[in-house]
Amino acid sequence: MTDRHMLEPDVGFINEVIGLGGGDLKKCYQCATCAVACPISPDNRPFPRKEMIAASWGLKDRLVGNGDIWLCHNCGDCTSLCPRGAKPGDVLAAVRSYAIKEYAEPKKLADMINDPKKLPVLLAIPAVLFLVIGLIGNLFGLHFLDFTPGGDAIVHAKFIHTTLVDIVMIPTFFFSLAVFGLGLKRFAADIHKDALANGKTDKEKIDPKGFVLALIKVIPGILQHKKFTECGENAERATSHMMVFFGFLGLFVVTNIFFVVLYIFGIHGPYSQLNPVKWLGNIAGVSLIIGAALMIKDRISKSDQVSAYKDWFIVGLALALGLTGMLTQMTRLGGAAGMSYTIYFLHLICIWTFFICLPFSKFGHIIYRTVAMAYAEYTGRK
Amino acid sequence: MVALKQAKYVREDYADGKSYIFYQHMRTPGLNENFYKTVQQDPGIFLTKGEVVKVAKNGTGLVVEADSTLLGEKIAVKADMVVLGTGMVPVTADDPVINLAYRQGPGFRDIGLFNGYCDSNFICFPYETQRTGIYAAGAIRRSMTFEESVEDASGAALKAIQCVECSNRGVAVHPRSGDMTFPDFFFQRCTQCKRCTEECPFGALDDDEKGTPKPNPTRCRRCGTCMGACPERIIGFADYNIDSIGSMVKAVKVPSTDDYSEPPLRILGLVCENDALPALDIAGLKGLSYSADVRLIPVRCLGSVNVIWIKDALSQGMDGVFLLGCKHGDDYQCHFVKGSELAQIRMKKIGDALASLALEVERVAQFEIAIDEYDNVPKIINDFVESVEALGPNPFKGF
Repeated sequence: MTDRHMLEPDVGFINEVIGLGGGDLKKCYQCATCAVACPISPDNRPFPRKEMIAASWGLKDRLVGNGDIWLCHNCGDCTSLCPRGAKPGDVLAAVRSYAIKEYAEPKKLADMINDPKKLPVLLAIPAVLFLVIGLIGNLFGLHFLDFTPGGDAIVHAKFIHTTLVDIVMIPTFFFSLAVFGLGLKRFAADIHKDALANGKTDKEKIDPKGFVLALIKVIPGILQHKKFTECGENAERATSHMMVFFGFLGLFVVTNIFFVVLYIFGIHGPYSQLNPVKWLGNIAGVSLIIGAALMIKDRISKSDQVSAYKDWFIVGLALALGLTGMLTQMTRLGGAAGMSYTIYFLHLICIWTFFICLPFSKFGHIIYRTVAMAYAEYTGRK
Repeated sequence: MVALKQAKYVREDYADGKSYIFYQHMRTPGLNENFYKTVQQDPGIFLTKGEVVKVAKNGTGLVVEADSTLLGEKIAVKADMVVLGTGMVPVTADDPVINLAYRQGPGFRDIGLFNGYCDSNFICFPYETQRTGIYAAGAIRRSMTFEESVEDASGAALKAIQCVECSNRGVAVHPRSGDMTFPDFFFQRCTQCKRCTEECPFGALDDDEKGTPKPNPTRCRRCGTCMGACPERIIGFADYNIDSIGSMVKAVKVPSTDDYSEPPLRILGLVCENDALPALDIAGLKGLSYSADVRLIPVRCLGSVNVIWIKDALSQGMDGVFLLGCKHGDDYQCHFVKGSELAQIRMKKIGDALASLALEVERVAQFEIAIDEYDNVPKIINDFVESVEALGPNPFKGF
């Protein structure tokens, strides 16, 4: 009996994965074309064949804590070659989405973020937060909100004070980091357990030093999008993903510079258009917009790839972030005060939504995939 | 397919119900494949190939254990009810039904290949049974639906019409359609050994209480298996008998030292005319070549090969003899079901006789070949010639 496994298929899990874009998972008849076709699957216990049967049997435990689902980059080679149209690539994407929800607490928030019907509520939260905290600040004479900001130049800080922005944003950001941290702890333990149970590693314990070294080793590959370029079917996705990725990275750097300059040197924005930091911000913003637009175009034109709410949500949000940011700047330079302030407010809502969604939505792949890839590198799974 | 239907019932009646199907073969012929695909899509139906090894009690329910599953491991699942889905069993499995007055038994012959289904699954000619004039159709041949059975019956009816036509003209039916000869028995020399009656694939020979064969010419398909079996060599056809082939063997000239300082080998091939000979024909058309030391004589079936021909060939000084015939076993291709298999058994026995003559057993060999394996034929022949060359010339040469 030691090597016999009692299986208790979880129909709820199957239904959920189907809802997340894995609608064809039950079609799989285990021919293993996918595992052979996959350009990035390792030789030892390759995916996604075993993941497909586990998914169609509702074996949640074997998938959620399985590091391999994160090694998949959804190239789509398996999906286009699948003789039964079971779309293994999309099934794994759906399973990943489920796993992100599984590791993120609180569950209520995770459900809300992944439910299209609750999108208006989600977007209303930051709007209400800004207004309520701003008005309370105003009561104490802190000038957080000024609905009639005068002056010759448009300065967004006069409308919504930077302190108010930071009071709302910084805790949100650290909340997300904490959610990631907690999820990651369980995630790392789970993928290690799964790797041990399935003979994917010979290392009994994770040695932190070795793991960090492995992490450092995989990062150049991630920056260069090496795995993407190994893909056959969806190789062109590497470009748009790279643009969005470096767009976010650039904007993150710019935001940090702003933050340091404001609080340490006491210099307020907006910066001159000739400032190199401004250049970086603008280039990153444009890259984000073009990248996100390309992704949307790609998804619309690809009929054989499933695009679920989880996908539209993040590409939509990325585009919205870039567009509102860029339009805020353009209207400011153009002197359209009312419009500029309104768009700025929308931009803040997008940013807050982005922060809060990081660990709950598909954005979570930034962390989980990196860790899984580092783990695979660490255990020598190739 | 019924299992799929039942699984669907469970799912329709219980919203949270789960159905597991462990199967060996999923049979959903024709458009039923679509039904299979639909059922497979149900999130609560779990299908896997697997071998159920145990059903045990578990509180008020049951636990089913299965090995060799698609999940790559031994598994167990909990169940409230376990149903054993059995396969279709032909009506002839337990009861012969047709009750024939054959020495070999009242039913269709069970050659142990079709799980109790009737023996009418000849690879090249279905419907044909080993009981001449009886053509099987429908679910006694293999599991079939009503529609398939109706279609199948049309095929069998056409075969029956051919049979009636042949009988009218007094000729043999398939596969030697039109043959007008019968096996003749020289009964004065019969030893009543019963080998012919036992080995006849079509049960054409009954026997009396002493064991003398009683031929039923209408059942005969002219394969000559009886002729190959007879140790007394008293069975033959007017146009195909021990003497006719024996004369052909004797007519093959064996090169001797009179003509050559180092005479080349002479090797005889007895070739089944149904598959092996056409394969050689195609090899010839393709311009493939094989050793020139080989001489070929076609035979009706390897089952009709009498070992005397081999002894004749070797005592005449030929260096080796090979038999080229059909594949046997599970997916046999012999027109007469067991011909090449019988030949194989006889060849094993000839080994002892050869050893007593101080001849190597390797001088006689049998090869199996399918009609489409023409590209293999030259290699098979050349390899055999080489192995005989290694043994050296036949020591009986020149006697």
